[in-house]
Amino acid sequence: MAHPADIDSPPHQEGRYVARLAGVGAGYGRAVVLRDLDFEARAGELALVVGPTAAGKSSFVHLLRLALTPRDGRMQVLGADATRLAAKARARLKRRIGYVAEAPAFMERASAYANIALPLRIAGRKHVDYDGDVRDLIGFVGLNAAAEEPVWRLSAVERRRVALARALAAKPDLILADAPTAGLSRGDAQRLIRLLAELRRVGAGIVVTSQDETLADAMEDPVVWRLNMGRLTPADPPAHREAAE
Amino acid sequence: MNRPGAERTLFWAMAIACFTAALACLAARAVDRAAIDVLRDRSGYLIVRVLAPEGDDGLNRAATALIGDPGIAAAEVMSPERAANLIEAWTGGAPPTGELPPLRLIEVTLAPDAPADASAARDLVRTLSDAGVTAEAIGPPDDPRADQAARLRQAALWGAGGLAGVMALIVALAARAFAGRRRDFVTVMADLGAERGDVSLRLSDEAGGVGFLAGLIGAGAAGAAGAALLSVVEPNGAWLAGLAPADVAPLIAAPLLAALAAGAGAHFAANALFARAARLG
Repeated sequence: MAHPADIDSPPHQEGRYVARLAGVGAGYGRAVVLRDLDFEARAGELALVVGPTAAGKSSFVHLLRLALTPRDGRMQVLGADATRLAAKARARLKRRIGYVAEAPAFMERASAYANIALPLRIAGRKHVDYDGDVRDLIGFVGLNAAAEEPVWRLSAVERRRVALARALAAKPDLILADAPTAGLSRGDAQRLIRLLAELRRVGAGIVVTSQDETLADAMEDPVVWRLNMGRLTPADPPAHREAAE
Repeated sequence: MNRPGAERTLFWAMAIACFTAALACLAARAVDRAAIDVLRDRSGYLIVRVLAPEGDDGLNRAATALIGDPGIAAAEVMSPERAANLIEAWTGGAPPTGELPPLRLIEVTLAPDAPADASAARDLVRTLSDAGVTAEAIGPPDDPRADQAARLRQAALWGAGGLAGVMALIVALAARAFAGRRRDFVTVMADLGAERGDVSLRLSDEAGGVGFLAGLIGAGAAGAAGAALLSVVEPNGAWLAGLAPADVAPLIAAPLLAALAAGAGAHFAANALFARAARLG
C-alpha cells in the first residue's frame, strides 16, 4: 500500500484518494492544534476518527473541508493541493465536499427544503432540475413531514437530518460529519450512522468524527483513527488496504 | 426568533436618517434660493449716470435706448423721491429731497438671463454710446445683506451636505448591522462553496433594496413636511408654481443615496463575515 506520507502517488491511484495528508500541522493564531498528521481516505471508504474532547476532531474536519489552511506538510483533497488553493478554486472544491457540522448553521427562517436545495442553487441548477432529487433526499433522511417547516422550528434530530440531506444534495465526493450523533439518542444516532454508511455505495469517501468509540460497532467495516492532543494514529490495522494492495 | 423586530428597528433607523438628511437638504435649498434672490437683486441692478448730452434730452434718449435693449428688463429715470428712499435704505438717513442736486440717474434692472457681472455694465455703456449718450454705470453700494446671504448660503449647503454625509454613514452602519444578522446565511454559503463576491452581492442587493425603501419613506415624509410648512407660509399655493427641479432634487436623491450607502455597508460587512466563515485560523 502507499504510505500516507508518500503523497505523490502514481497517477492511476490519484482518483482513489479523496484526502491525503502527510506531516500536516494546523492551528489558530499562535495555537497549534494539529501536529504532524498522516491520513488518507479513499472513495467508498468510511473513516471514523475518535478522540476525547479537545483532541482536535473539529479542527481536523475544518482542515479537510478547506476552512483551515495547513501550516506545514502536504495535503491533497479530491486531487487538489490544498496548501496552494486560490479563493475561487477553494470555493469550487468545497462544492464537492458535503459537511455536517456538530452544530449545523442554516438559513433558519427558510424551509428545510430550501436549505437542502441550497448547494444545488449555488451550483447553478434550476428548480425544475433539482426538485425531484431534493424530494428524494428528503424521503431518504425521513423528513417528509417537516420539509416545508422553517428550520428554526425543527427538533435537534430533524436539524441533523436536514444537515445530512444538505451535505448530500450536490452528490459530493467527500462527506465530512463532525460528531453527527452528539446529543442524539442511541436509536437516532444509529439510524443516522446507517444513513451515512449507505452513502459509501455511491462511491463517496466518508469521514466521521466522534467521541464515541462504540460507534464503530454500528458501522460496516470502518477504518478507525484515533486523534489525541492533535496527533492522529490508526486505531486498527488497515487489513482491507493490505488486501487491496 | 426576534429577527423581524430587530430588522424593523434597523429599517426605521434608516428611514429616520433619510428623513433628516432630506429635510436638511430641502431647508438648505430654501436658504440657497433666498440667498440667490438677494444676490440676483443686487447683481441685476445698476444705476446709469448720464454725462452728456445734458438736460432732459440726454436722460430721455438714454432711457429710450436702454428700454429697447433685450438684456434690460426695466429702465426708469430716478425721481428725487426715489433717490431719497434709496439713500435712506443704504445709509440709514434720508436727506430732504429739496437738498438733492439735479439728478441725471436711471435705474436699470437687467433681464434675468443677462450676465450680471462687470461685462453687463460695459455693454450698457456701449449701448448708450451707440445711441449718442455718454454715461457711466454704477453698481449698488456695498450691502451687508449680500455678504450675509452669501455666507448663509455656503453655511446651509455645507451644513446640509455634512449632515447628509453623517446620515449616509448611519444608513451604512444600519445596513452593516442588517448584514450582521445574516451571519448564519454567510456561514452556510461559505461552507457550501459559494464565492465571496456572490454572497456580498446578494447581501448588498438585499440591503440596497431595504435602503431604497427607507429612503423613499424618509424622502416622502420630508417632502410632506416641507410642503406643509410652505403651505403655512404661502397659503395660496404660489410656492407650488415656483418649484424648480433642483428644489425637489433632495427627495429624488435620498432613496438612491440611501440604497448606495446601505449596499456599501452591507457589502463590506458581508466580505468581513465571509472571510471569517471561509477561513478559520
